[in-house]
Amino acid sequence: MDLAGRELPSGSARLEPYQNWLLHDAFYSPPQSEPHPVAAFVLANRGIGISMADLFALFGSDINDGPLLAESAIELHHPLAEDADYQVRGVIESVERRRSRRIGPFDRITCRFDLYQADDLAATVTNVFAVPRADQDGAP
Amino acid sequence: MTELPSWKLDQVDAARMKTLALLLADPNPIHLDPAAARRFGVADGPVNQGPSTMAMAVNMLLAAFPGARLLSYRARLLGLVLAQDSVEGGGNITSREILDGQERVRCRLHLEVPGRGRVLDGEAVLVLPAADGNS
Repeated sequence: MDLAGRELPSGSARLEPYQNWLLHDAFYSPPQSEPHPVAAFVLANRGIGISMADLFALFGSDINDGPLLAESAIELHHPLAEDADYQVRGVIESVERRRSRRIGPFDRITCRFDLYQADDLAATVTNVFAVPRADQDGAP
Repeated sequence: MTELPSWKLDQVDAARMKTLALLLADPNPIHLDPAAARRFGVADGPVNQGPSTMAMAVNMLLAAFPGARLLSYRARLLGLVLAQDSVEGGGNITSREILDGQERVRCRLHLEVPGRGRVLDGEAVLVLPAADGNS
């Protein structure tokens, strides 16, 4: 299954003021009206039109099988805002087969999520997942 | 290179992971249930979500540069952070430049759990507030 280049279903997300407060607190950050910069990750995760479980199923994995967030990059083109609607578009940018001593063979899957506020690109979140794969001889 | 002030979080809080699981819509039980983390052979306690660990490093940067605005941030997650861990961080400024009249700093940064080693490394670019307070 060739996943690279596949667009993910788009969707939207909004950080209500009480959610913004809770997110600052969950991030060990003093609550304030401007969202924490890493809120971009949360908005991307919640706003893309596919659940995490379904995203990992698309990868041919299961959320309980140990897919890991290996890397993440956030670009903030504008400061984030609470109580604002963000349209989220996503694409699977690349899939690379790798091997590590710790988890054996795995696919390094890069997904990019673009967050738009009223047609302006507000933030880009690029996540790299390490998805364990069975050895071709069937060994885990 | 100028070093960032050292930074420490005394204890990672399992209750905050539960809040974040709801906000992220992340159903992975290893962030909620110590038994699940043990059952999957991942850890002996709830595992902090990656974005929470990433946020800790941003907190360190914003403590070092009050009033600054983060423009970009790249993090590699190298190890697990567990409930009740303490987390320590550091880094350095690798470059400074003036762009459009604003000072930008680029930093390398890292976090580690004492006794288990490095859990995150990364880099970030921030724009500093103007001397008159307007960023």
